[in-house]
Amino acid sequence: MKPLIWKEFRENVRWMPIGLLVSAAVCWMVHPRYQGNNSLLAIALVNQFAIITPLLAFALGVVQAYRDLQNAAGAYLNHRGVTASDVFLAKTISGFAIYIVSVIVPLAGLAAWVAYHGMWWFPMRPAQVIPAFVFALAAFAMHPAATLMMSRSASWWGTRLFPLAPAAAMLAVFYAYLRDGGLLWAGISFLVGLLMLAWMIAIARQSWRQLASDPPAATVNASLRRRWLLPTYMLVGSVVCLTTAVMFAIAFVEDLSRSKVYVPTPTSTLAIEEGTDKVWLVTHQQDYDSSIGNYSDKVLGGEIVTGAATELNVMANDAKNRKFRYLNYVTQLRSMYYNSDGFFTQPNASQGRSLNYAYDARGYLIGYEQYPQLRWVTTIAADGVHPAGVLAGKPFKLDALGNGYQIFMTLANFGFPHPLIDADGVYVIDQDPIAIRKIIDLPIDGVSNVEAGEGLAPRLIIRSENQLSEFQLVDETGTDDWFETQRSNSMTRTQKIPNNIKLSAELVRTVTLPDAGFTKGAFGIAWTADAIVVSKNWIDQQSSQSNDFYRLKADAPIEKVTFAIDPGTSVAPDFDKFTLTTMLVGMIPGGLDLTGFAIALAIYITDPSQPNPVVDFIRYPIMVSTFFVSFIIITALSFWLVRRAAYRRGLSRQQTRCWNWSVPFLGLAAPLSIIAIYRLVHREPCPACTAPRRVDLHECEHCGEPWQPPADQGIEIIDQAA
Amino acid sequence: MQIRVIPGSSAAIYRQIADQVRRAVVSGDINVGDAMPSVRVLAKELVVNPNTVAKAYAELIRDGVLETQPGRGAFVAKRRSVFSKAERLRRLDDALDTAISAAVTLDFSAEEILARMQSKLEQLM
Amino acid sequence: MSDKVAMPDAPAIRTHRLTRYFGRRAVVRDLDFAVPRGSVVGLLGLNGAGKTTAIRMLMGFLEPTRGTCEILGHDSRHLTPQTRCRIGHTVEGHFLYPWMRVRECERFSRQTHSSWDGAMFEQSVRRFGIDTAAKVSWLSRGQRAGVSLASTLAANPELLVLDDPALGLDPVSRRALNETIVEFSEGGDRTVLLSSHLLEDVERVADRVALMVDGRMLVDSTLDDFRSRVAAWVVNTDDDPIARHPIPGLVHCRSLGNRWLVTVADPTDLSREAIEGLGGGVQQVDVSFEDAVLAYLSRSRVDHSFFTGAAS
Repeated sequence: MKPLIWKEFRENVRWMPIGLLVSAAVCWMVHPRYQGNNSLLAIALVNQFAIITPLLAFALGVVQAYRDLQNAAGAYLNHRGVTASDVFLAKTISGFAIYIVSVIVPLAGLAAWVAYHGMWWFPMRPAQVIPAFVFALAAFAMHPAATLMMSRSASWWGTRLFPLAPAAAMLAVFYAYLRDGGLLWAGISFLVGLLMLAWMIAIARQSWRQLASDPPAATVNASLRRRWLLPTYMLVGSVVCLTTAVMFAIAFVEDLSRSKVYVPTPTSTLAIEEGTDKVWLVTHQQDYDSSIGNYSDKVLGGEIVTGAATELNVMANDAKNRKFRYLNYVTQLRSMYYNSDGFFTQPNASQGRSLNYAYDARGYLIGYEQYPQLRWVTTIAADGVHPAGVLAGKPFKLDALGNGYQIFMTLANFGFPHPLIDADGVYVIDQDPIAIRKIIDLPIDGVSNVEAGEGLAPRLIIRSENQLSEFQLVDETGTDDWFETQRSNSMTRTQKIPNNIKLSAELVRTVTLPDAGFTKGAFGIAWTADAIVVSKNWIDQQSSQSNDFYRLKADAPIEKVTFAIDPGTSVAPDFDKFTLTTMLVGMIPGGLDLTGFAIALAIYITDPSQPNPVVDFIRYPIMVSTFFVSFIIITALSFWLVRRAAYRRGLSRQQTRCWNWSVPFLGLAAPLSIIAIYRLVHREPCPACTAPRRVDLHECEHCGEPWQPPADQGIEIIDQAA
Repeated sequence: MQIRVIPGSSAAIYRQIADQVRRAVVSGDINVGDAMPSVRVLAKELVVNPNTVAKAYAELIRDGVLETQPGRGAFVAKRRSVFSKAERLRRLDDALDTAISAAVTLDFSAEEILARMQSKLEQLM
Repeated sequence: MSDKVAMPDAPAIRTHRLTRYFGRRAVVRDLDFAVPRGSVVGLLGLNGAGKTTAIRMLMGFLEPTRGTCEILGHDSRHLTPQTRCRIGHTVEGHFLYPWMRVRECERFSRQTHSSWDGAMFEQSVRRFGIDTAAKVSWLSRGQRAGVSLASTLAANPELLVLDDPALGLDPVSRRALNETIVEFSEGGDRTVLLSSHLLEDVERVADRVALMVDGRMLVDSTLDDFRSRVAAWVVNTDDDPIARHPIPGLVHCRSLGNRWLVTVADPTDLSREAIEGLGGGVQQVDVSFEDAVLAYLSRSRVDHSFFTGAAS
């Protein structure tokens, strides 16, 4: 083994400088200095590594495998006291050594450079190279995949595409999680990546040992027992290839059928009438208003919800020319907001003009001065402000800045500096001097910022367990008249930011949520003077059976109101029509469809407030029948293809039967798998019965006649020893 | 004694070896009682398969040209006739046929050939 | 090693109806062939006759489409490293890693074989006149053959399988190669299978000859037996004599100007009569080994009676 590793290393170490060069170039390019301030190191690095490392590993695998699969080189290497498995493992080990060195050295250099500069001019830290390193580790899976591809001297399909597809798909998943996952996902991906590598190597080793000698179909196709790794992998590969292809086709068709310009669509939803605080069912739509250069809301119709048994007309004229407030979502806080790489969020100026703040995943806000040059000037912790250069004090529990921006979007859009929110409470940053003040000290599970009628500032509603607490944001005078709503064009921040107001929160009331369904998932919420209105199904989507809402008051019983919509007037989008997309969905393997259905059913059974998939089935007859027709056509086609492929691959009757049974679950993936897993058989006419018979079997499968040796030509000189 | 093997000729290699040994014995290049090189040594020297040399030796021993002494190898035997009269005549005819046809093609007259043969015989005997 | 005791007389190599297809093309067809222990077998055949394919199957680098082959009593498809160490094999073209030095080649082979005779390596390398510090890529083809042979022989194999070792060698290297083979086989218990195009070398060093034509084994016999069973006649006639009379056992009929050389295997009285019947001065001629082999090899170019599709 040792000499084999040495040989592989000596032979291929010449590729290391290329790998080093490419990785080093990438590590050079990801500097914030070259990427601009909109880039974060971990994202940029993983993005670049996602392109180069799979290619590097793949190229190395192809080079290493190709040379020793040539007849002469293969014979020279394999004909000695070593096993094929030794040869394969030596290739993998030395390939990995070359690969990992060419990746680690530039990464370590980058980390050292980052550590030297610290966070002084940009939020960055050495640990940000870890996701890229973990991705590079996982991307080595392309090496065994390449070996696998090369060692299968099979047909085009079997050889090229399928062995690569599952590895590439797994890498896509790793990319999605590592890109902005931070250290947590890097750790999980590291463990999963090791498992995946072990799996890939086991598969490639099996292929290398068994298929490099180009065995005939008779020995390989007959029994898959005790060598199930490769067939399983190929099955996964063909399902992945098929599903991906269908998804791309759907995306393409959807893209073609969608309008490229904005088309206003009406929506029916619960709303609160301004002034009266009555609950209405209102149909409205967002129209583009060219006079203000923005979208404006227009009410098309609606009826007041009284709780009576009559069906509501969503287009009734009563609602026209009235003003409404719509329900808002109660959202969960997130650990890190968008524009983050899992380590930092992008520095942004939402807290005033002079400083840019970035959230550090370790729980601090890092303030950067922009002019005259980028410089770290302050650190804000949950309990105080600290000078630059240290991360000290009590850390925030979540991305307080990003959550604050998301919750107080109304304030932020209007140009106000928004409060911060983490799982422990709400904070505001005071300017001149910079200080942090906790204005609400409450454990937070969900939060919403709702409109509170004309002239009033939006109210903050915090959910802790099943309690909703409403807060009013007041200034030093104890009122919320600091809030101005007269903004004709809300998209421009031309107002002077009132930096000088010092906000604090005042508890208005606390109410209890009606049932457990509200403590998980999102729900809609609206403010009225005497009650808080909550609903889980406040938008008419034709998916929920019953519509209802609750009025929650601080010191009165919960009031539940149910209502029904007249289906004749409903403006809910009509999903139930023939589309090409539904046809394409029929091509997805039936097993996946079934799994999806089972999951939806399981969700419905555990949580009856979720849509019932069986009812949805009945509700969309055209769509469902289109799907089934397409599915049946595809299944029939697959049956035919399976029969054909099974004949061409010389499968036994039992194997063919098994594959036939799998067709409803695998669809087109079944014939593809047969092509990928089994080897082609060749046939020539049987001299006895003239039917085409397999050349790799001793007896004719039609007449049972063994092969006759070619006739003597009368000139053979064969002596007894032979 | 120098034995030369020419592969590709119409005579088999073992026959070439046997013939050359015979000629050497007849011409006195090697004498009665002289030791022959072992099969291995000769095979290595001529770069031919040892079985071929062994076959040549076996033929020579059968013909009485060589004899073996257990443990000491092969030696040139005393000349004795192991062939019947008829066989000897057939072999003589074979040899003469080849020589005469070659001589005739070289455009010598019968007298010249006979005289030449006479002098050769005198040299040998 | 136990199989040696169990089957002392088992052939070193035996194939049973060995067949190999590449796609629809049969390259080796129903090969029944044996190499007795202790013999030197010359494997002859045109390029594409299936020699290399047969050898690759013997060495377990290629699986047969059907049929079996055994080498030293083991199924070729499942050779263990131990068995491999008992077989020496040089590949066509004497492949070596070009980046290695000769010394490194030796070390690499020594580390990957169970037994190693360093003195034997030195001796073989010296015979080919090779500097052990030289890089393989600097060596001539003959020298590379020397290194390849030396590292094969130094492992003390019982069986030597040489795939066209003389290809492209200069006369001196060829002689050194032949010497090596003769020396290797002189003990009488070691076996050589030698695939070659050089009939003179085969005639020198081999005691058996195996001849493949278009994937079939037509000759597998001792050298002398083969020679003695092939006869040839020269017929003075203008037109192709074969067209008129079928001759039993005819191997090949070749035009020599206005005469025809008719080569026949195992001539019977019937075939003699048939040849006499051709008339026009029939004369039997001596057949050299080379003539006999060439007559067989020429068949593949003319006669495709059993073989559909071109072999390559």
